[in-house]
Amino acid sequence: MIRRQTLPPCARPAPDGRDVLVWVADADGCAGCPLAGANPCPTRMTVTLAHEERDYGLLCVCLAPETEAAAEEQELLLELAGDIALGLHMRELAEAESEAQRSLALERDRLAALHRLSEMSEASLNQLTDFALEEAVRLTGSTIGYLAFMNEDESILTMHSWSKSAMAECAIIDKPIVYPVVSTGLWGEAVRQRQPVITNDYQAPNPQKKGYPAGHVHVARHMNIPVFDGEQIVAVAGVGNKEEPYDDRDVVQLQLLMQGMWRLIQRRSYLTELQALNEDLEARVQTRTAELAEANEQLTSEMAQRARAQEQTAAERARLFNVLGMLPGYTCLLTPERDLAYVNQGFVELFGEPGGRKCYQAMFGRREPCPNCRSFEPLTTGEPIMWEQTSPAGAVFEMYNSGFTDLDGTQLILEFALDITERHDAQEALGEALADLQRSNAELEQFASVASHDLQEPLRMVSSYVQLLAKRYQGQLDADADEFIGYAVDGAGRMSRLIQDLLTYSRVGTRGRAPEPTDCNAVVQEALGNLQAAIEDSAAEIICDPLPEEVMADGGQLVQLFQNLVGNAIKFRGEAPPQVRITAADQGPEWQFCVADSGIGLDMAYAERIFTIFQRLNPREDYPGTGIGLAVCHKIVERHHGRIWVESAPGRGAKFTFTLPKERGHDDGPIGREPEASANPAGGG
Amino acid sequence: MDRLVENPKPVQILLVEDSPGDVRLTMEALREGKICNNLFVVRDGVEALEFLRQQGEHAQAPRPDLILLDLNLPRMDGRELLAEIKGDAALQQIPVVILTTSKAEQDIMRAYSLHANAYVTKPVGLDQFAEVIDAIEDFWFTIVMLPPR
Repeated sequence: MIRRQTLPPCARPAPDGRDVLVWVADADGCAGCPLAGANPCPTRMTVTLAHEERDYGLLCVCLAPETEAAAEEQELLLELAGDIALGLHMRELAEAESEAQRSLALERDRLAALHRLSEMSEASLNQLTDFALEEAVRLTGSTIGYLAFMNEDESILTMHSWSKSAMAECAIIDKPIVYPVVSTGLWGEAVRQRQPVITNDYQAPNPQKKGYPAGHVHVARHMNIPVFDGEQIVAVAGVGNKEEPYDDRDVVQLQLLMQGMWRLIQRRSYLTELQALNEDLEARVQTRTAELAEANEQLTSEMAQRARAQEQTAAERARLFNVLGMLPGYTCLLTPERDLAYVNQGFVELFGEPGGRKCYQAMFGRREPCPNCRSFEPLTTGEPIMWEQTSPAGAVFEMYNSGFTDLDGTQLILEFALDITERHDAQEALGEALADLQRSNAELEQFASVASHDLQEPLRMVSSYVQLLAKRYQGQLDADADEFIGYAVDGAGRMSRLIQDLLTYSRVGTRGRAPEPTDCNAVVQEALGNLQAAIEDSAAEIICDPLPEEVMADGGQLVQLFQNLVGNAIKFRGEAPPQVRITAADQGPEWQFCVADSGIGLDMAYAERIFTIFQRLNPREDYPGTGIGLAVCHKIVERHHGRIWVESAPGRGAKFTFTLPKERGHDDGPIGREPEASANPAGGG
Repeated sequence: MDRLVENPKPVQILLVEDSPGDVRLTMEALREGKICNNLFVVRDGVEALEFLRQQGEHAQAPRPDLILLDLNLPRMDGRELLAEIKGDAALQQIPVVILTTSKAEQDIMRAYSLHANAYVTKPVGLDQFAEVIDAIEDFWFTIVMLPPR
């Protein structure tokens, strides 16, 4: 469309469509018209240069003065205008084609660049960005370029790279790399405006410009764009110094290239991230695998250990069963219903296989539980018990019963029993023997006492009447009668002494007193006092060491003991006056007393025999006595839980030693007494 | 024999003894003694009580001046008889000398507890026995004052 207002006045009355306008120009109206001076003819013809719907302009001709604007002329002009319009149209088409081809080439270039970018998978980020930047410079016809990345909150730009040409031209040695957005100059506008910014006259004054330092590349034109990732600015790319001014096509080129580059970078970073993730994952998998391997190894080792432990347990179990089997007696587990939950080998050997029978059936062949059975008491009391059971066959068992909680929690009775029949019998026999012995001993003492007492009566009769006979009829019968009477009197006398001694001996056991602290010095003095006559008669020398002042003993018996020993020492003296020495020694738990003499001594072959009652080593004519003294000594010492022995040799004196325990004097039993003569109701008084 | 001169009436002695040997020995000893005496012999405690209480065949028995008593006797023994005598107000004044072979402490203690007037054991030897009997006779009939008849 031709806007008529803009047309020169001569062209204003332009025709619509194909019509030719013939008009006459006034003189004023054509002032300045290039045609006005050359052809003053006022008549003009104007026609539109149109091709199809497109108007290319107006064709205005001045007619020569003699020429009329005839129809032929107008037709000619129309044809000419049509030709011109066609030419114009042709040229326009050619230009459009050329432009399209140029765009297409750029597009191809850019696509090729992007393609190359996309193929740079092995390239480093710098290689990628360098290439993209160089391509951007080339595609926009620039000479310099740069790329800066933005941080996440869009506050700081970090210069990433400059194009080679920029680097070559740049004289700044220490290039800043980090730029806070707020302090950036003109190049930060793209960030602030969030759109491309073109500055085709960089050197013109601009309030946004902050100037660049000395040595900076000279900038004539500048264009830069923000690179977006979604809404976020991630980078700023800029180019400069294109010969022609930058236009939107450059913007588009730069944008497309840089967005493509960003996507690639992003993909690469995704890949890197993915790779990192993968690597991490792999590392974790490896770690986990290693851990699993370790755990597996541990598990294997544990299983091996467990297997060993199980083996050991099995061995231990086998051994325990062996032990159970080998135990003397039997072991079994009983249910409260008297079933046999377990029996050991000993049980089987004793009673055979239980075969599901109740305990009393299996063991003793009973129909009912044993009447005295205590096996199940621990079920109620919780206390283990020990008792004795006698089988119907007479076997005696020592039974140990206790509660037993089975593996499944069942309450059972554990029974362990020892066959103590032999021991039992032996004990019983021993007990009986002991009782027999005690009874026998008691009887013996009783007998000795009673016998000696009751013997006194008839003896007294014999003795008295023999004496009466001798007194009245001595010398009145013949010599034989006198001799016979003599033997009878002597025999009766000896028998009397024997009986007296027997009584003395029996009274040691039956008439003892409870032990009490006794001064041995006083005891010996009393004994020596009783022996006064014998000592004086024999001119004996008695030496007595200091003796213990307190022993637990029956004082009366101790006197008798010393008296018998010293008396013996004097009695069995040699030619010289007897020497007797009494000593005592502390032997820790007991006192040891010695009575040593210088007498005739004795053959050690008889050392034991002399302590037996009525045992004599010497002829009665030489050494009177019944042989009771040392037996009494032996009995007294024995009653005090001591020992007595003799060391001697014929002609070398004798040393009698006896001990008295410090702890235990003698039996604290009741003081025995001689049975009364009336114990024998038939006895005479 | 001053006593005999002063008191020609013989002393009455009751011997309670079951052993004939002892009876004879006692009689022999008394016969050789200085004092004129009448010796009566009973064999057990029951008979002794009859004698003392002049019962049965002993209705004419005299009241003895001294009783020589053995401990071991049939039927009623010496201890029981002693208890009877000393528990009887009519008889308890009569001195009782226990004459026995027993030297048992218990017998001695019991006899004195029952108020025996003396306890003498019979010696085994004949001479010693005679001496003991002499001593008893001498002591009870010349030294001590007996209760009046």
